[in-house]
Amino acid sequence: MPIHTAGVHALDSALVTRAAGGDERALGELYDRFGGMAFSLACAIVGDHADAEEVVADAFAQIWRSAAGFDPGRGSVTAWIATIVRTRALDLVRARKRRARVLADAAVVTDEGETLVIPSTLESPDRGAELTETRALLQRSLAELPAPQRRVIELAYFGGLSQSEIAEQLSEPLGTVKTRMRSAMEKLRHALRPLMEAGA
Amino acid sequence: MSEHVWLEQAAPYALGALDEADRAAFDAHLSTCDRCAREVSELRQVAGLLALASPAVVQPPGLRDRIMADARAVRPMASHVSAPSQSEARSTSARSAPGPGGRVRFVVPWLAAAAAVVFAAVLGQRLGGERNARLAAERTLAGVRASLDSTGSALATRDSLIATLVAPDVQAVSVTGTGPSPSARYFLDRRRGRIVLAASSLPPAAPGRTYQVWGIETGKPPVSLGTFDTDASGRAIASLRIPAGLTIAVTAVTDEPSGGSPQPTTTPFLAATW
Repeated sequence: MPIHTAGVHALDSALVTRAAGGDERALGELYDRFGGMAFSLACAIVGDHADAEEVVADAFAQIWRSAAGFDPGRGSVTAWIATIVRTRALDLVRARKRRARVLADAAVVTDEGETLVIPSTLESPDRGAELTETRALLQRSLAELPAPQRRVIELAYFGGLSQSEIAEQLSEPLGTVKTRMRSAMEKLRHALRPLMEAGA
Repeated sequence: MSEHVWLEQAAPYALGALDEADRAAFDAHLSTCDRCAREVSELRQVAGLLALASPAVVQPPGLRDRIMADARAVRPMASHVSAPSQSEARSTSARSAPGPGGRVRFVVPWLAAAAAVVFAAVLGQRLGGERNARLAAERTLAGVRASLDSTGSALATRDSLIATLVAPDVQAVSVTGTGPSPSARYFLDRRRGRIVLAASSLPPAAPGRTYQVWGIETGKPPVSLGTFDTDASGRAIASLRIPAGLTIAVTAVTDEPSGGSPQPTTTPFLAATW
């Protein structure tokens, strides 16, 4: 039973297409659907709600301007939006030289400081439920990784660090970091395959 | 399994975690290797989904309205305009604000724009940092568009004004006096040779007088950038051309006779250091 159906992806893609045509309501729907994910991701990276708000506003401005550049053949709307948000969040972090703080907070999966709430503004309850399930699967998949592997993924994805920066951060040999990263991504690919097959 | 050593690079590449030299080499390889390209494509989806692993945080209530106000001011790019790559894996500090050739189609009448920029300045100050100040300016300019109508005089200046406010490498400085006295924000776009001054709480110049903006290069006499005056509410926005070859280190304003002076004749105020 796929959590994400191809139908949902088609709906998401259709929203982006409408936004590219200048339909403001479509952008609003994209925000209703992905704003929670975007804000959560931005918080995880920048570590501050006010900064995260800047990042998300900026990201959706880019989404609006560049919706025509989205190619459903190259990935899901989720991944597209996440990439934009992450890129902007990492830019902000780098600009603020807050890397040290982010590193300390990088273990986001075990962070208990935030309330687990999904916005109830999703237009379709079914689609909202699917996103919730997807999140649960993601968090579970990451949590099931051996801790050293998970740490490497977190430092790369949420901390924006390169492999050698991670090696330095963890005082581990570069080769060890590379191996952990590959193994972790392999496991994640396996665990997340249902989502990706639906999106293809 | 056949060994294809390049495949090992796909996972860190998809995560944006390859070191610079490795990334360049793998980029070159990717253009010739379908197998690695497929691998990267799939692993990028894995990386993209990692976003959903972050703990859910409820977004602030006003954020949606803000995003929608921004959107009303800017049209999406037409499909033939190159858009940021969906597969962008590494962060870049370049901003993708609409440049002079972009699709910003709104009209910003003079006074409303001034109010907007001054507001943006306050917001920018609160947020701190040039980047955020500029984002605030861009967003605020966009946000007022819905309530504006077209005026001829604004049309003449809007393009350079908007370009200066949203350009990727604009520097912004705010200058505040003590108490309710004049404040200003400068947006300096060195590359395009423009500077925008947004002033507030500055009483209109006396009859026969005007305000003159100066750019000062270190070790050289001030160079006039132009004159402006405020309206009854004490606000003004001036978009000024910077003479070629002038490397501004300081900007300031003086009170001068109408038409301006070759050199400042009164004490400068609203001085900003760059």
